[in-house]
Amino acid sequence: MSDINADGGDRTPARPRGFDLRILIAGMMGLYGAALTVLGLTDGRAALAKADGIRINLWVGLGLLAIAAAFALWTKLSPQRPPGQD
Amino acid sequence: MNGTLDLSPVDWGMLGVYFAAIIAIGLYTRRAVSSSGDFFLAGRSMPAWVTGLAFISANLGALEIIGGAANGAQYGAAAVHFYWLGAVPAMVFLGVVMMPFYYSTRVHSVSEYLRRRFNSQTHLLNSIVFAVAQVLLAGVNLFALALIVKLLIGWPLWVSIVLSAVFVLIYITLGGLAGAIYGEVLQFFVILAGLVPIVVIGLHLVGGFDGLRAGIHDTDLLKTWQGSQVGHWNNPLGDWFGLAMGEGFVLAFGYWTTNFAEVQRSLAAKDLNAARRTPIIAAFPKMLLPLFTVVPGMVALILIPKLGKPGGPTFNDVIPEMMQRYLPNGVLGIALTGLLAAFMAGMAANISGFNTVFTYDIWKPYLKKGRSDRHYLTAGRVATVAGIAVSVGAAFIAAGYSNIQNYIQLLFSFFNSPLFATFLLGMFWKRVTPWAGFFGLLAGTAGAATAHLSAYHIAYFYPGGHLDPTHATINAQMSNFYSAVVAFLVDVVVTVAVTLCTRPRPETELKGLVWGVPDPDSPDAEAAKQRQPWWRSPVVLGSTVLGLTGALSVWLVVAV
Repeated sequence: MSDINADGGDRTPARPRGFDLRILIAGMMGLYGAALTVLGLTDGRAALAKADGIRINLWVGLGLLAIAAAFALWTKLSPQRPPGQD
Repeated sequence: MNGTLDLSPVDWGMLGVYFAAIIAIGLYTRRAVSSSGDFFLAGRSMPAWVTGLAFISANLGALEIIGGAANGAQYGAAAVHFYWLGAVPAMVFLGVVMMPFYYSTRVHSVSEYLRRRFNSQTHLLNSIVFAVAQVLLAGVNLFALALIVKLLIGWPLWVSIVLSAVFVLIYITLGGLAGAIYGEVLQFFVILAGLVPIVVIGLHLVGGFDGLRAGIHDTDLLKTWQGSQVGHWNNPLGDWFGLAMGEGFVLAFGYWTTNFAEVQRSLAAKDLNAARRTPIIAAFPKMLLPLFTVVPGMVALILIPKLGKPGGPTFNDVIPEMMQRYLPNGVLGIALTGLLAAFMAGMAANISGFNTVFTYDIWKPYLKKGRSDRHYLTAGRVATVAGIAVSVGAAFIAAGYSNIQNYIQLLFSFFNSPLFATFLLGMFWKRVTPWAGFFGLLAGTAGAATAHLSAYHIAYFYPGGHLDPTHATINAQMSNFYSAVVAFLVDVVVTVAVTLCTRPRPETELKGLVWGVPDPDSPDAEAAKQRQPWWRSPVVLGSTVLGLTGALSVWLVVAV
């Protein structure tokens, strides 16, 4: 806790360097999406019957993968700048 | 130890990944917390999309999801009014009109605005009420969470109360508001991913929207505005005056524009424009939420026999019942994670609102003045721990009552409706005096309580106008709407009366706090002059979401 700025002028922003929430969202949605997609492809008859015949794991999985890809693409196209510039 | 859900290792894995990510966020944001401003306001550094999603997530607690579905089952299509008539216009008003007063005056909280605009007495009254209410609400959240976990997974109440308290503790104490906000954004996506399969499968089962309309036998439940004539209403939510004035104007505006647990998310934004766009960005998902709450509630009426009837599941069980019946392993894990995440989002919003108000509005000005910034940062962390500890206690107390949530929500609405009246007068009329603020609030709250108690004895609030001596059939929502209107009017009358016989503050003290008294030294004065592109303009975005919401409301009346 000794890294506090004594001058109090140019304060550390609350967004730590290198931390980009978009990457975390992309990573987590990607992980969930991949797991659900695999599950959806291998779902047995019981799982399908429970969901009224819809391969719900597959569809939600693909949707989450799309969200993950969108956030990854956004991070790539417009990398995080220091606060105040964007 | 067995709950109703048939969970597989995959589902547990989904849950585990989420909580690992939440802890990681807490540890990561901790590195950036070096001052009280970082802890309580996230250093005012967040982009609008982050604060906007956190804004909606802070409100998307599980009580909201479960309650929204319950409203859909109980009141039918009319439950969209809570979103389209209530929330969306209020959120746009907060962003377009009120946010500059909060953001540009650099207040740390809604209560602090009251101190600068009125006096310390008004400030202290509001701060204490808010702090107590937040801790109690956090406790209610915890208790409701524990009940759901017991039902779904089979853990005893105390295990889930303590476990979730510890999780919220870790990520708020470490990362402060930034930790809470990042967690909330993540929750938003998980919650939606959990609700989507319930909606898709439910609609598929009943045969789409046409099947839904055909399957609802009680046609009152298809009404939104129909049957809301003043004098002889038969709409599930009463007459249009109570709806438009009580819910639409006073209750929703009171909740969204003065509830600090919400406004705090906007204050973390990086500049004035981002702060103004925060609630407006949140209004877009809010507009679509009825699809994920009201629709499952109505679908459940068709799919679940005896729902809300003696011997059947209660309206509050809609979401858990649908999860158990229709979700296969995989999406089931996501839905469970989303539900637990939603409980913690609600609780985290209560606790981070509490620690800020406690530290900045009670501890700093009245108990320990003029200490170092480090002192207040520590005080904030200690307040977080203490607040969570008290809320755990409150959760165990809540366990002893069957319906304590209703009372607390009701009490909270007693305070929000007059608060909105005081804000509106104080922001737009510079003559309003300090003591007028204080007595207006006090009288408004008393007015709400009186109106609430009287409504039980007025036949108009009962369906068909038949007074029920046991009070069981009263239209509780409608009486809430009218109590809110009374609270608002009493507050206005008393505030104006006291204003006319007391001395106002000099105009120099009101710079930036009142409409028409600008502050030339405002830190945002330069930024406000810059022209924003249309897609960043709060007015353009706000009009867009209002227009879309209006179109949806008209469509719903015509289509049904």
